[in-house]
Amino acid sequence: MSRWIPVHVLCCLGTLSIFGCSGGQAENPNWPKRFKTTGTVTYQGKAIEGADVTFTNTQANTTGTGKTDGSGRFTLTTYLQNDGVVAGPQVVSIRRVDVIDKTPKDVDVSAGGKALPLEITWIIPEKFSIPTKSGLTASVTESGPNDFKFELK
Amino acid sequence: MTKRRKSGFTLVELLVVIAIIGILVGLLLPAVQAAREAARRMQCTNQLKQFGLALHNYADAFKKFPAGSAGPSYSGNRLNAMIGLLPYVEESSLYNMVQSTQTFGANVFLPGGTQPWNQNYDLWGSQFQVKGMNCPSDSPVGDNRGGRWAGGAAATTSYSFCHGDHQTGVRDQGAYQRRGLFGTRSWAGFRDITDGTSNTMAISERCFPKGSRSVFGNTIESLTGITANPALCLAQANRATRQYLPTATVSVYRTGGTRAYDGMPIYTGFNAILPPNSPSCLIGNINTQGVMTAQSWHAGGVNCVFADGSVRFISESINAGNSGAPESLSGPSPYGVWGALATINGGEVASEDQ
Repeated sequence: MSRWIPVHVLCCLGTLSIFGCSGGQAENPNWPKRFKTTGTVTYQGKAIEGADVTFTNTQANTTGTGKTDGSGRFTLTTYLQNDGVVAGPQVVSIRRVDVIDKTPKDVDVSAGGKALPLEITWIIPEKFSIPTKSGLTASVTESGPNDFKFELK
Repeated sequence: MTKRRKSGFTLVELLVVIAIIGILVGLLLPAVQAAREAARRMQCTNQLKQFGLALHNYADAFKKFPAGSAGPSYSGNRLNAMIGLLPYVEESSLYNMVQSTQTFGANVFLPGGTQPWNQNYDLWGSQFQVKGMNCPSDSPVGDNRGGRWAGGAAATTSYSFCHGDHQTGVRDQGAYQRRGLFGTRSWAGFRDITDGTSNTMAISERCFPKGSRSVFGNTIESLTGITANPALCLAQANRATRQYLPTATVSVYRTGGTRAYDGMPIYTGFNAILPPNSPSCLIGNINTQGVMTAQSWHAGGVNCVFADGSVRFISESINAGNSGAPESLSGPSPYGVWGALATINGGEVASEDQ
């Protein structure tokens, strides 16, 4: 029975070599070093799902982004998925808005059809979505732990 | 009497031989696929080079580059630079047809063309597709509006004109921001390119989707807030899988390149705000402004022809500055080298090696 094993092993290797060679985006040596950054967003005591969080490093001029899950947790990405943000002082924006397109589906806006204005409901007030007006800041350090709580009211 | 042993292979021997062949094919296949993609990318580079030469020949003849969106008023000023370039890519007969009175069915069309979405105008249809406008790595699907277009689909293009480093859309139909080489009713000359022609992008790629939630070829709608903070657009996708997140609203319109001659930036334009192969987002529906990102199916970046006629491959890891910064309509681009290459007169010192 043992003489069968090499055949199986070879078959597996063959299959792996077909599917094994695909990769995502690679690190660029010119990119500054990032540090894992996470956090939580609550508004009036409730965890907010689907909020867009951006951290803009005012010294390095880089921005990391993330989206909150059902418990209001986010993990930031600057260049590669969940790689964190560049250490330093950060200006923070948090945006959660419901947008309803009131334009009827039979209006073809791609052919110059008239669209109705969007119905916009801010779940978190609009001012928190603008980095320069949000008044939210954070300081990401190399030593960590970089976990931030934003309890908005 | 000895019984002769029947010659042949045992099952194990056969399996071993098949396994070895399997491994060899397995090793060879990725190499063959890579070589095929390299050939397609090369052909794409060559096609862009032809458009680069066409731009120069056009500029020789008219002393200006063509406009990103112009044409007669009855076309809605919505015809792009491709029309003007047609005679310089050996499509004079198509150009002459556009520039003369045409009767298609019950309709008579004046010289100069008509609205790019008019499905009763044969010349915009897929039956008059210019082959060189589609990158071989791409899988184009024309805007399906029926009418007299063959298969109901419009002619397509994989190539988009550089509108600058600011958010573009219908808002710019009237007022050109003078950041990029192409704009609505704006004919830039060589003397306007003060950043240098080798540091200014002319045409790059925008590819068609292979999947309904793929970042490639799909656009997010109703993303208010990107005007002040374009990085919000990046937050709509998973950067590892290149898929839009379930909460993002993907537009039902297939946009980039679905109408080869539509001058609206959403169809045949791009802006250098987010790095190549990043998401595209609009503040409302497709008639509003937003971020329109250069994308291609070539691994790791996009091809681009510059205003000097050179074609270079731009990596998606190019320094794209601070994507969280609002647009700047004067002075250097906030979007790093990528943004600097998109402006004609931003005054930046740019090298795409960064």
